Formats: sequence, C-alpha cells, structure tokens
Amino acid sequence: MQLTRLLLNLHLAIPVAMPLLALLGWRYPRFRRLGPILLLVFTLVGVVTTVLSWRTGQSPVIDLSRILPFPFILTLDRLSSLFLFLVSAVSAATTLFSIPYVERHYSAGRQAWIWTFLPLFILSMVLVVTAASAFAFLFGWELMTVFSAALVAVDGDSPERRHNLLIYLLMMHAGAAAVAASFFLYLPSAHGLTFAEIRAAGANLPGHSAIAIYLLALLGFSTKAGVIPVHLWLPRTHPIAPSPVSALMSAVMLKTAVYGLVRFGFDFLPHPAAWWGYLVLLAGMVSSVLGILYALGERDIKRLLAYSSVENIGIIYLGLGAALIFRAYEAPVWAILALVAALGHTVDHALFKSLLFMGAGSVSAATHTLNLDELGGLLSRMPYTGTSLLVACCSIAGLPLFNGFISEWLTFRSFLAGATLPSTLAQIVLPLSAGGLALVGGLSAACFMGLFGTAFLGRPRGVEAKSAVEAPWAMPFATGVLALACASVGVYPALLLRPLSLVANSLIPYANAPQELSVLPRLLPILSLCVLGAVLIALAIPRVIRVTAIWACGLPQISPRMEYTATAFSKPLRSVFATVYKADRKIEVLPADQPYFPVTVSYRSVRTTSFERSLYRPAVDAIVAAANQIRRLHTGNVQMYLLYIFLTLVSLLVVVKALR
Amino acid sequence: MTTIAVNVLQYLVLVLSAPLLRALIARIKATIQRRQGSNLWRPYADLLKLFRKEDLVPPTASPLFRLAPTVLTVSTLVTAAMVPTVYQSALLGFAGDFIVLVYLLALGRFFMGLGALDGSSSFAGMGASREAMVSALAEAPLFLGLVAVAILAREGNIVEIARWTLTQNFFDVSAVHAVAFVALAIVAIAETGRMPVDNPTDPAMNLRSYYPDFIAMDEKGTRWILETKGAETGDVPYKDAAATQWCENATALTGKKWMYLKVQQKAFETLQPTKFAHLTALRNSAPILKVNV
Repeated sequence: MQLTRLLLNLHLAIPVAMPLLALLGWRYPRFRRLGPILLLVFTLVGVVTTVLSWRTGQSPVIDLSRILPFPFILTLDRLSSLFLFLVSAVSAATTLFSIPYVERHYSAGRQAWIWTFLPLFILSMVLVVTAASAFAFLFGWELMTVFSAALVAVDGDSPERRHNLLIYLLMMHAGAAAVAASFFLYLPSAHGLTFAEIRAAGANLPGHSAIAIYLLALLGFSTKAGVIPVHLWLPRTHPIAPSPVSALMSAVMLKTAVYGLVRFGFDFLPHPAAWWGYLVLLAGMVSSVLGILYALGERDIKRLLAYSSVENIGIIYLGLGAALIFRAYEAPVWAILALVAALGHTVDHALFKSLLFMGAGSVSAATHTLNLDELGGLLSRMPYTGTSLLVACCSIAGLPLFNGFISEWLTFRSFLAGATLPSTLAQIVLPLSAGGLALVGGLSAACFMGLFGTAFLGRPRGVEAKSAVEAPWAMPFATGVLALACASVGVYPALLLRPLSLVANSLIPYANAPQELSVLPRLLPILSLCVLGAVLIALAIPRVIRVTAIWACGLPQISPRMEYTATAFSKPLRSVFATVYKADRKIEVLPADQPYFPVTVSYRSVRTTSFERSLYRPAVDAIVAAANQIRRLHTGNVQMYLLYIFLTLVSLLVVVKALR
Repeated sequence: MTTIAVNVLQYLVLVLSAPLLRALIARIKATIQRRQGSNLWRPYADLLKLFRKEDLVPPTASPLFRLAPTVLTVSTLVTAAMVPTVYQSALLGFAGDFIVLVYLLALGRFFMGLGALDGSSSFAGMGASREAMVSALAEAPLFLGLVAVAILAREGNIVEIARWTLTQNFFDVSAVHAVAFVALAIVAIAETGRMPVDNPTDPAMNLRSYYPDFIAMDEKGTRWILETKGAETGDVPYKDAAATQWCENATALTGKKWMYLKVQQKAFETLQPTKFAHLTALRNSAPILKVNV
C-alpha cells in the first residue's frame, strides 16, 4: 500500500473521531487539549501527504463507491494537492492559534462544540479539494456550508446574527444548486459523474450545454467566492464568526470556489470561448475596485478584512479571466502565466488573509474591540502580533519583498501580454486592465496603511487599547509563522512559482514555460539583499536621539483625541469616490421648532451598499409577487385539483405524441 | 569596466543633483515673485545641517518611527539605480523592471505614511492621509503610461525599453511617447506635492512657523517682538516661552538686542500709553506687562 494513500486515509479518519474527543474534553477538563492537539496532527498529516505525493509523483486514490450509493472517489492530482496543501497548512496555523483563543473566549460547553465542528469543517474542505466524483464534491461542498454556519452559530445568538446566518445559508444553497446543476448537465453526454468521465465527455459537449455548464458553475462558485454582486453574505458572515473561523473561511473556504472554477474552466471544459474570459475579467474588475473601496470606508477591522477578501478574490478573477482569454485565442504560454498569477494570488491571499484575521482576533482578545477608532499604539504593547501584522499589511498592499507583490506582478505581466493577441478587443481590454489593477493596488496600500497606522501606531485612543498586553505565545507564534512564509515567498519567489508552474502546466499542457516566470526569482533575491542590506547599514550608523514631545500647536501636549482616526484618514479618498458610497447622512436638530437654539444635534452617517436596494430588493419582490400569483391556483377545491391533474395528463400525452 | 564606471557616475550625478532641482524650483519661484531667492546650494547646506543634528523622537513612538525614513530613502536610492538617465544602462539595470520600480517607490511611501501616523500628531495624520490619496490615484496613470511604452518595446525592463526607443525612428514612436510623457509629468507633479495638486507653502504644512504680530525697532536699536493679546488661552505661556527663548538666541547670535513684549488688552487699557517707549519702559516695572516664563 502506498504511503501517501495510508496518510490520506489517516488524514480523513482523524476528524471523524474528533467529536468524541471534544466530548471527553468537556467531561474531563484534564483532556481538553487532547482534541486540539490531535487536530494539529491531522493538519500536519495533510501537509506531509501533499509534500510526499508531490515529491514521489504518486496520486493516491481512495474509492468508497462500494459502501456508498454514489460513486465516491478521492484523489490527489497536481491541482488538488496544491489546494490540499493550502487547506492543511493554513488550518495548522489556525489550529495552533485557536487553542489559547478558544480557551479564553468560550465556556467549556461552547469549546466542545467548536472542537467538534472545526475539524469537520476542515475535513469538508479537504473533501472538496480532493474529490474525484461529483457526488464527493457536492457532499463536501454542502458540509462546508453547514459546518461553517454551525461555527458561526456557536459564537453567539441575536436576531441580527440569525438574519445574517440565514442570508449566508440561503446564498450558499443557491450557489450549491447552481454547481450541482452544472454537474448534472454533463449527464446526457457522460456515462457517470466521476471526474474522469466528465473530462472524457467535455471534449464532445454540444456548444449550448457547455455554455450553460460554464455559466452555472461561474454563478455557483462566484457566490461562494463572494464576487460582487453575489458577495452579500460575505461582509455579514465573516465579522460574526470566531476569528480563527473567519480566518479559515476567508483564507481557505473562498479558495475552494477558485479551485472549482479552475477545475471547470481548465479541466472539464476544454474549449472556452473568449467571452467567458471577459465575463470573469469584468466580474474581477468590479469586485476588486468596489471591494477595496468598501473596505476603505470600514472602521470595524473584520468587516474591512471581509471586503478586502472581495477585492482579492477580484484580483484572482482578473488572472483567471486573462488565462481563459489566452486559452480561447490559443496562446498557451500566456495562459500558463495568467493561471500561475491567479493561483499565486490564491496562495498569497490565503497566507496573509488568515494572518490578518488571526491578528484581528489577537487585537480583540487584548482590547475587546475591533473598532479602529478606539485602537492605537498596539505595536509597542503587542510587538510580536504587531510585527507579523505589519508584514501582512505590506503583503496585501502588494509591496515588493512581500508575497502579494509576486502575484500582482504576474497578473500585470499577463495583462501586458494581451497586446500580442490577434484580437483588437483583447489588445485594448487587457492592457487597460493593468491600469485598473494599479488603481486597486494603490487603494489597498492606502487602506492598509490606515488600518495598521491607526490600530498599531500612534497613541491608544481608548482605555482598553492602553492596557493591552501580548497574547499567549501560541497566538503570536502562529501569526509569526505565516508572516515568515509571506516574507520568504516575497524575497525568494521560486518557492512559490516552481510548484505553481507545474500545476498550471498539468492543466494547460505546453512544452515551454513562459519566460516571465523566471524574471522575479532571478531579480528579487538580489534586490531584497540590496534593500535590506542598505536599511540595516543605515540603522547601524549610530545616531543621537532626543526624545521630545511633538508640537501640539501650543497646547501642553498632544492628546489622543487630536490624533487622526481611521475615519478621518480615509475621508479624502471617500470624497473622491463619493458616488460609490452613497452615504445616508442624517442631521437631527432637537427640538425641531427651534433650529437656532437646539438642545441636541445628532449626526448619523450610514453607508449602504446599493446592491441590496437596487438588485436584491427588486428580485425578492418579483419572487414574492410571482409566488402570490401562483398561490391563486391553490383554491382548496377538490374539483379544481382534479381538473389540474386531468390537464397535466392531457398535456403530457400531447408532448409524448409530438416527440414520437 | 567603462560601463560600470559610467553607471556609477550616472547614479552619483542623479542622486547628488536631486537637491539642486529643489533649489532651482525655489529660485524660479522667487524670480516669478520678484524676490531675490536663496542661494542655489542652500538645500545642500540644509541637508548637511540636518544630518548632523540629533533625531527627534516623540515619547510614544514605536521603533517604526525611526525605520520609516530609512526605508523611504533606501527604496528611493535603489529605484534611482534602476533608471537610465543620461546613458543607456543603469547600475541595477538588470532589475529595472518597471512594475518593480513603481512598487518599490510605493514601499517607501507606505512606510513614510506609517511613520507619520506613528507620530500621532493630527498634522502628520493629515499628511499621511493626503499622501495616501494622491499616491493611490496617481498609481493608475503612472502605470498606464509605462505600460504603453513597455508594450511598444515588448519589454518590461526600463533599460531595455530605453535602448529599444533609441534605435527607433523618432517620429514612429513619438505619439505614444508624448502622451505617456504628459501623463508621467502630471503624476510627477502630484507625487512631489506641487501646485496645483498640493501647495508646499501652505501655512498648515509649516508647523513650526511662528509669525509675530509686530516687529519694531526703537531709537536705541533694540528689536521688539510684539504680541498683542485679547484673551489668555491655554497655549499662550508656551508661545511666551518660545518667543523669549528665540529673542535670547537671536541676541546671542546677532549681537543686537532682541526683546519680547506681550501687550494684553487689559494692560493697554490700564496704562493708556501714548508712545511705544511708554510700553517698553514699563516692561519690567509694571506687573501687568511682566512675562512669566
């Protein structure tokens, strides 16, 4: 028996045993750490499995079709092992982080629930990325929704929370229905729904069903990925989940959607049309620009991070769209480049976004607030968490020497390559998209400068922030490991690009790898050496320092109230993009009949995203109206129902006759 | 060998002439405003002076406060080494990728903004916020300008782009290059905080400037700094201290006597002086005119 297969079996078996351990830990507090530690082992087994299968080139297969009513096959090909690695590695860091976090935040009973659902949630993501049959995929896909919702529900209960959770479940099930439908549309041409059969059927699909499959898959996966305009659940669910769970949802769960889209777009559907790519590109552009603009307007760290996930998924979509366009115009070299860019950003975003969400968890554990306007000065109080978050902010802003830059660079370069395509539209659209991506890059740098600057620098704006202390070692250790990963990929990009080009090559077979992939690995190590060396030398030069109070415009000293807040920081950009925000400002002067001598003046500014008003509300109204019309058929009269049955029968007979 | 020497020379000229540009702009401005203007070497003297002074650090600042200027300087110096200016190669020419260049500059700006926010002064926050806005908006045009040129040359490396451009017929490439040039010029104006995007002489930018109400010289040649006050707000004692200190320094340095006189509304009404000398004579005797430092 293959070692990898054994490991994969072990990997899948552990989480199933976890509820028992969680129960044990609840009954006997002595054993309460047993479950978490086993979960850590589980994730590490996943990492080892992928590395082994990668090294040896073995793809272990687990076939449970005999004991289940549907074909249930799991396997590891290049793409799967990349995503399994991602799931396992991020989960390992998250688990380590969760051990002290969960102990601090939740009662014993809730801890047991969390340690029951968390492993199952991770398992469901493992199922999704290793599935080799539609049933296994959909099974994992649905479990992922259920268990993540359960983890959100464990965190607390309130009417608003239930409402948000309901929206989450509704959108997820609608998305799952679309994905399931796209699988079932293969059935007329395929013998069964294992991935091998689907792949075989893909080549001779009729054109219209390929389009239907693609559109349904795009809709379903985009709902999961949180692409605008089907992002509605994302900023509602992420902030109310426990921080480690938000980290997993944002860093890994959204990526399973990217995995699905890559599977369909590059594996199952061999002949894409160019407009498929343009559609993805458009969705990506809208998501990334609007996502980062919404993030800029947020004060709550977790909501900000949730919107920034929308933006980053948008950037991934930009790469995917470009890759589809290149594939449609039969330019495989550039398609590989763009796909590597998209997959690279998937990995990068998983690393820094999980780090950011965990950092937000550490901040809320230390200060009991996530409102940026009440934080400040945390870097000197929580130096380890602060430093790793600085790395994450630099990464997400796409700055060189950090990993986010690598994937943005690749996306830029693939846009540039669009100028070589034999189509005027592509020659115009792709290079112009580079400008859009540059705008997004600049805005996200501004956004995360504001986030880090207001939360971690300056003076504390609230009492809680003033008395913050560093979290227990496991939390900064987990964030530190991720920060190290971000920085090492940024300084030595071959670490990321070599495996990714193999993955892309397995989906788009072509002999030559694009030359662009070797530019950064050659350039960045030397450049980093120059920059870091010069910075270290400059810091080594001894300087005389005088600690002195800063100019407070003549007042005795600066008070935290004079500091710029996150709201003030983003104001110039918010005024530039005022049309996007559509802020609802209400000034209330009381009493109303004395406008010149008011007793109180209250000011409220609510930012609504116009999607709810202009897109979802009409859709819901239309459905309700249609349902009301259909309700008229329900008269409660038996004769009427008999008439319906009779009419149905007649029309069926007519249809059968016509088909003959 | 000669290439390296030329590259080093080119780099040194580029870096060392940077303060001169500042002086030239100031000189042109002075000429337009019909002022004499300062010496062209003044920025060098200023830099020398500032490098010799100690670093002032706010008590609440984190280590990032001191890291920020270093990162900004280093990232700017490294990008300068990537760009060919007068010769068609550069010191770090192999790394002269235009995307790397733009983002390396962004790295410096990012840290500068963080450093400003770390100072926790509201003016620094305002500066960081403005800087973040301008650079976020300027990035896209900067990029598109470079993308246009890069696509023409089918190259991402700036040195290669420059070489390619030099081999072309001037009129073949001029249209795109002219448009890109205009775009980059506007970006440069925005990024360096010049009119009309920003106003570097805005009083709000010159935090420590102190403009006294009046400066007078009496018959004995004593220079008086006069501050007239209606209401005594909280910051007045600090202004008094600063002005008195300044007068002492100025007296010691120039050898001419400088004095500070604060005239409150109340004092003026009580004493009813008819001449300036009445006020100055009473400065030390009348308690109402006494400056408590």
